[in-house]
Amino acid sequence: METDYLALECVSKTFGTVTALDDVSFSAEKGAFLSILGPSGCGKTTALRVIAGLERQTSGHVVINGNDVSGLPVSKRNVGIVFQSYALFPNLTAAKNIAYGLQGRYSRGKVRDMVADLMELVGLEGLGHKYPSQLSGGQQQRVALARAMALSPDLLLLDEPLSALDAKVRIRLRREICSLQKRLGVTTIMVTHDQEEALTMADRILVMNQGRLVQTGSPTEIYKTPATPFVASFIGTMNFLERARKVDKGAYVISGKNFRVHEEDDASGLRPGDMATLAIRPEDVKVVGLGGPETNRFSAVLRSMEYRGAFFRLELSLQVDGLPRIKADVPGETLSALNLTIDRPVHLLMPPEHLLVYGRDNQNGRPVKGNGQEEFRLHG
Amino acid sequence: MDSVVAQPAKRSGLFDTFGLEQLKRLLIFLALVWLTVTVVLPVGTLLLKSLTNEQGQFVGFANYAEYFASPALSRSIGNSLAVALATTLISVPLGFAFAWSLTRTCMPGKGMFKSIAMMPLFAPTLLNGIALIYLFGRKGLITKGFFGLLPGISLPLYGPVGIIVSEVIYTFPQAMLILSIALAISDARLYEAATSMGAGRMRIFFTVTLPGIKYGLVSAFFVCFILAFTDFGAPKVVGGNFNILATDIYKQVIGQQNFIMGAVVSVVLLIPTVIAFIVDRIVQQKQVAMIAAKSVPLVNRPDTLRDYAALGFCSMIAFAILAFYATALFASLVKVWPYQLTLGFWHYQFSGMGGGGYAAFFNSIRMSFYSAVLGTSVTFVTAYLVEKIRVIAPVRQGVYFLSILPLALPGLVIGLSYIFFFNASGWTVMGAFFPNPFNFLYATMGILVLSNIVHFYTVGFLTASTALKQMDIEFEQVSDSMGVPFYKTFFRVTLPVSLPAILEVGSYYFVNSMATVSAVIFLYSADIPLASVAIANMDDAGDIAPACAMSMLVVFTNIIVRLAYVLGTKKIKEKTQAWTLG
Repeated sequence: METDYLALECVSKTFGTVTALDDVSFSAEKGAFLSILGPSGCGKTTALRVIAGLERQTSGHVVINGNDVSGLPVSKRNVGIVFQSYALFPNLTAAKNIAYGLQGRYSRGKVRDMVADLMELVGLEGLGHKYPSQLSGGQQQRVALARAMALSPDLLLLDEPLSALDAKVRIRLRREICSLQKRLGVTTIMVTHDQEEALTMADRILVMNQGRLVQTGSPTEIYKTPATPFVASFIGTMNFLERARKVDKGAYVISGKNFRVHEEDDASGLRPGDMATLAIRPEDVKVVGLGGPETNRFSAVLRSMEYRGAFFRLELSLQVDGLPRIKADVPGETLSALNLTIDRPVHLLMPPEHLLVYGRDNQNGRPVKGNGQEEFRLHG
Repeated sequence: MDSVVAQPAKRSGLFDTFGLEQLKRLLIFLALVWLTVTVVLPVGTLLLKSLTNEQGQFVGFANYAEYFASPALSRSIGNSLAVALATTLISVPLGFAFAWSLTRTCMPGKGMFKSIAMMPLFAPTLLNGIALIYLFGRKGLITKGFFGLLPGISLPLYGPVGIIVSEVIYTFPQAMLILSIALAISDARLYEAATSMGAGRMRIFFTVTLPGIKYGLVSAFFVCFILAFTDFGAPKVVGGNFNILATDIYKQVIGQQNFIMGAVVSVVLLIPTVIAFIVDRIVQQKQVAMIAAKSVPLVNRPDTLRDYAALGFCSMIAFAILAFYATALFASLVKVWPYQLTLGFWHYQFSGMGGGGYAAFFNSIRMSFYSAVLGTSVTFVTAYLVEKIRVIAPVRQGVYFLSILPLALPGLVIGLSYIFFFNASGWTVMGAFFPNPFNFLYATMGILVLSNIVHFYTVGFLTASTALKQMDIEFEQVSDSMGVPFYKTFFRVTLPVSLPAILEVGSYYFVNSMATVSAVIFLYSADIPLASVAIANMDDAGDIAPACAMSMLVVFTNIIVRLAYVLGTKKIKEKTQAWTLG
């Protein structure tokens, strides 16, 4: 695609015997907000550092704005970086921190005007004379952001930018960073281990595990149709029903219980007799009284319930050997309507349209489902 | 490129980026060259010399055979080890008790006690010997029972006793400082856990306190051992006929002009030192790993009995140290000890004395000043290159290793190595003659400053490294990403933020260069006399009172410099308070 603004082509990076990046390829359009999401040690920070030029890839290419920058150091790549620690110079005021890269390139007056613009942009008017240690965490964050944006970078790279902040500030800054990014139209890559952060901020999410790219897609795609059990369990909560034997198109059996899934969602490449894992999100599991549709309806016993504010998280036992306890998220009114208490028998409904199927092939990170994951092109 | 802020402008600076990368490589390479010339080549020359004869022919270990065949010489090995071990076994427990009192009790006057305990760091070790003579010598204050007021106590001062007492005073502050740091980093939660499980005081001491500082203890042990094993000043004054390795080197080189045997003894001295040094380095690294963990600082609760016991102990030690140096001060002011106790400045005139008098004193100040300025610059830049400019890993590791190595080199070894290396007019390698490009330094102020820089290099390097490590490594990366050359960030951020550490290194260089005698005694020339050498020479000539007076001048200069450092640091803290709050 010619409009790809940023592209990684088959990038690998090894440190000694450790493979931090294993043949990672993806691309992004200009102005996109990408988030690289994964557990610690999955290679996401290495990916960011390779894009920045702070780390040299062992093999592969990095293209920014049409130029192959694979061999260029960070200073030649025109990227703005916000580190997790912010790395604000402690002996310089907020204004001088922001001016740091501008000085020597522009006249004194011009620098002053640019700094004033940047301070306004991030909402720090009047705080320019303060030293970093005199600013709150959120304010320091904005200084770092303004400093990174000062030289109008081709790429804005954010390394866990919000992890050092407390919950309230974090949520406010999420929105601010997003709106700033949209206003400036700067292509942005954010590394995070916080799924909520990735889901709420990014246009596209890249999920990584053990140095490999596992799935890319919009936040909804990633959440609704996770490509592998890993993605499913890493993002949100998921019930897994293992050792499901395929008996027919869209039909599985576990320990004598029949499960129906939508035929178009069925894992490709599985033949009758093959084993698979079924999965369903707790909020998609319905707890019902007697009666209603018979498909995927199972009797169960309520074992525990946990108050979660807006809903209750129930754990129910299907009373069948080989089936785990099922987690279900149920609103309070359902609970009182059914008059549920611990050890009461109820019925569970797992709607076929919400059941996901994982064949053996995609257990270890290679998506086989037919919803676009093979094509790692991103359309911001 | 669309942006609401500005268009990217030209990347400015002295070098373009690739030039900068080359500059980084060049700098780290220069650091390696510098350490090779000042450390590797001189010490290498010394090792080679110990394997050659007077004519410069290679003779293998013949010189060593000769050394070990002579009981008069080889007996010193046992003597040195015994003295160093005895010193360590006294110094470390005393240092521990003092450090424990400072960190684990609520006794009053901690700051004052710590300052007094650090006094010996400012004095030449020669002074320790001289003060002992005034206390326990034939006409000593205590030998004579305070000029006949009390019954006298006679000590066999000249020999091991005198050396050990001097070295204990010299090494005590080092042990105390190392153990204070080790004790200060302990985790309060461990003590709370132990108490909650019903452990008694003794049990806590043996199961929590001691294991917590074991690395500090081992480190204190080896540091004291190395210092006592290699010190030259005190044994020179009070050693008498009790020969140890350090005085042997001096006697061989200065007394008998036998440079080869001097080199042999130097190597013999070097071996245990290097072993102790390696063990200490290994232990230090473990200690660092312990500090890295998060811990809750311990808050002491008052305990009358414990606090009074600590106060009593510290008062005793502080009194002993003060009395020790007060005796020296008093003796330097007395007209004729012990007969005419009129006070005055007779001995501070140095007229008709050998040693160089005030010229020597001011030379020492000049030398210490140059050593402080140049030494601090070189150590800081090297530490910066190693910590922050991480290019060419093998060279970087080489520079790190060579920066740590001087800690294992006794002053006398450095001095003798420098004679061999810098005095050589050139070398013949495979038939070709290479003139020595550094020969011009010989017998100048330059070589004195150089020997001091190397002698005290490691402590300065480690202090600078620690300060630099506390700074975010991402500072360099952020500047890089903005296209700001690293040297700009060095001057605008790294240097200002490290200023306290830089002053610390500078004052350390100054104080030690003033007091040291071991390296420079081989290197000074007649037209550049030095205070510490003058002390040794006046003491040799029997002019103990002027030697004592000169020592007092050194001590006072060092105390003034140290006070200036403390005040300067305080000023900087006030000025930078705004950005160090966090």
